[in-house]
Amino acid sequence: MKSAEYITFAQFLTLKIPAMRHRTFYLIANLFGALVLLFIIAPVISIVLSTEFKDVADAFSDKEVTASIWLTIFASITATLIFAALSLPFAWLLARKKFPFKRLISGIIDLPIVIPHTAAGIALLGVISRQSTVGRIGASFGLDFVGHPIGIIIAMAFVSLPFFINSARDGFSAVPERLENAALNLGASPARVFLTISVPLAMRQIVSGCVMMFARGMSEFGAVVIIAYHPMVAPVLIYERFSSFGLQYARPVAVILIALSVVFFLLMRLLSKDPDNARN
Amino acid sequence: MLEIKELNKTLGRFRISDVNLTVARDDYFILLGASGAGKSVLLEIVAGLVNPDSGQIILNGKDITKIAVEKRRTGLIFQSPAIFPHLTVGQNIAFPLRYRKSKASLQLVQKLAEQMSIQHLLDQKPAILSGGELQRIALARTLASDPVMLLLDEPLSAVDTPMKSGLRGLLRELNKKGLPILHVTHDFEEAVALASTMAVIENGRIVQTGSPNDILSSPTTGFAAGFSGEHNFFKAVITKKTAIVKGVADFRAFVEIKLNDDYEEGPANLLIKSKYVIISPDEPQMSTVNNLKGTIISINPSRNGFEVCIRGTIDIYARITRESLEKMKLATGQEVWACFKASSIDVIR
Repeated sequence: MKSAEYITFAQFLTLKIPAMRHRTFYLIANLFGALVLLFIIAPVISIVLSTEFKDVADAFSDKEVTASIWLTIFASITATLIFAALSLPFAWLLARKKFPFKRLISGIIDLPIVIPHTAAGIALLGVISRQSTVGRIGASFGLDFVGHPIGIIIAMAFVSLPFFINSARDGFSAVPERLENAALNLGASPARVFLTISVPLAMRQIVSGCVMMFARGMSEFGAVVIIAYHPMVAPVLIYERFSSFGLQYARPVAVILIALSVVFFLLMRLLSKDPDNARN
Repeated sequence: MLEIKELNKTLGRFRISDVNLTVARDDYFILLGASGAGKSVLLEIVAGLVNPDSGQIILNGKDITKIAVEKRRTGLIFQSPAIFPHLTVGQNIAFPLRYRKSKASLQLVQKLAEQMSIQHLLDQKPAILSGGELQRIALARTLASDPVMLLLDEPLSAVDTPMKSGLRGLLRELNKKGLPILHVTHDFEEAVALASTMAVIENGRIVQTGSPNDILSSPTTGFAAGFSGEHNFFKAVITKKTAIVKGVADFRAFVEIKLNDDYEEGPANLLIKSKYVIISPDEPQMSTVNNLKGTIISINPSRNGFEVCIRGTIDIYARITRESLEKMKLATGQEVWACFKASSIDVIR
């Protein structure tokens, strides 16, 4: 993006575009755009402005708050790393190969997006609770998924995985197949072609898929609250503070979580920038 | 040696039918065909990227039809060079090597880069390089994979004209060093310049196989016939501004053909389009610098008139209209001069 494309606000106000037809339409489009932007920004700004800095600082020194935030970050990163690594080759398959029921399978991947998340939590609970097979196998190793960080990781992964798979698949689709074929022809094994050609060339989309998956997992409430109310992740803590003590007490934690999300989001967006990978 | 036996493949509306061909150990085999004739698919089948419906591919006596792509060692060069954009030129060339950071590997990369005259590009990323440079990198990289033969898919079509002859020279040299080459192209000049054996493919079927001269002087059908009537093909040796062409009947005899420009010395192919050849019944007093005396051995009707073959030391064909034929009262056995300007000669190498 070139910085030369930007203009100052003052220039914007005096901007005249003589050749622009349908001026009323552009005016309306701009107006709607401004309203939508305001709709997104206003609550965020309002919560930041209406929260005392002292309360935020207090919340930071509250052990329960910091523990929940660390747990949220840890669980979401773990969910992202494990499930992204597991589904990366699958995303490549989806991008490259034709196989029966491919459309159906793509639909199944998107399922967690459309299922209400509390319902997803209930469904997951059926699979990993103490009564289920998976739960019993876990119990034999002394693990109880319900009410355990592992349960949180599973819940986060379930609702956020589609974001990763779809992004990685789009990344792989954009890698010219010719390059993979050339690498095979040069004697590289399919695994090596995948690791040294396909993955590096799709890296940008893979990283941005990770960012989206991480952000989605971190903000998950519905599925997590059903599988593990305790230990509390930050969204659950906010809900608990709100329902037990009221708005005043929920706000500082919410501000911290919002700030953290924005910081992580910006950081990983920067990381995913890689102009070297311009494809030919 | 590569043998393709009774190969069949249907790909959508596209099909390859009953293809048989043999590329001998020292062959530079050119498969000539229009776009969409099935050339690229044929190469992809040989390389293992596409599976045939039926048929066999035998490379150096071994049936490779069912062998995985990465184990075939058929160096495929694509029409648009498939250089990995995230690696430097040096890393690209080293890609096929097992121990890429070892001293031996680095030396090999250096050697191949020198052979392809790209040693100054080794640390560059490919994004800024030209088509000719990229194709040289592709060639170096393929050679690093130690292929048993080369499969070339219109390798010069993305290359600027001035760079073409250099690359052709490289390909010819590789072939002379013992690497059999199967090269598909629609470019007939390229075919003439490089081929030791040639085949014509049309609608997925091989319609003619033979030496370049056989095919160009008597095309049986289709694509090659696009060049029919152009019988004035000569293998020549260029020295300064003249080309020396050996006689047809008597191998010790030769003619000198004058060229309009200084060409690099050495072997070349000459094409003199028959429409540029003028017939004169008497010793010509004209501006044409090439005037060859001979006897008319045949007069055949052709598309726009007649094609007259004049046999001197070499056979020259001239295309003339019916009016000219009648006015000059030409007949077989008559002695005439075949005249053409130096500028009407295409030098193909």
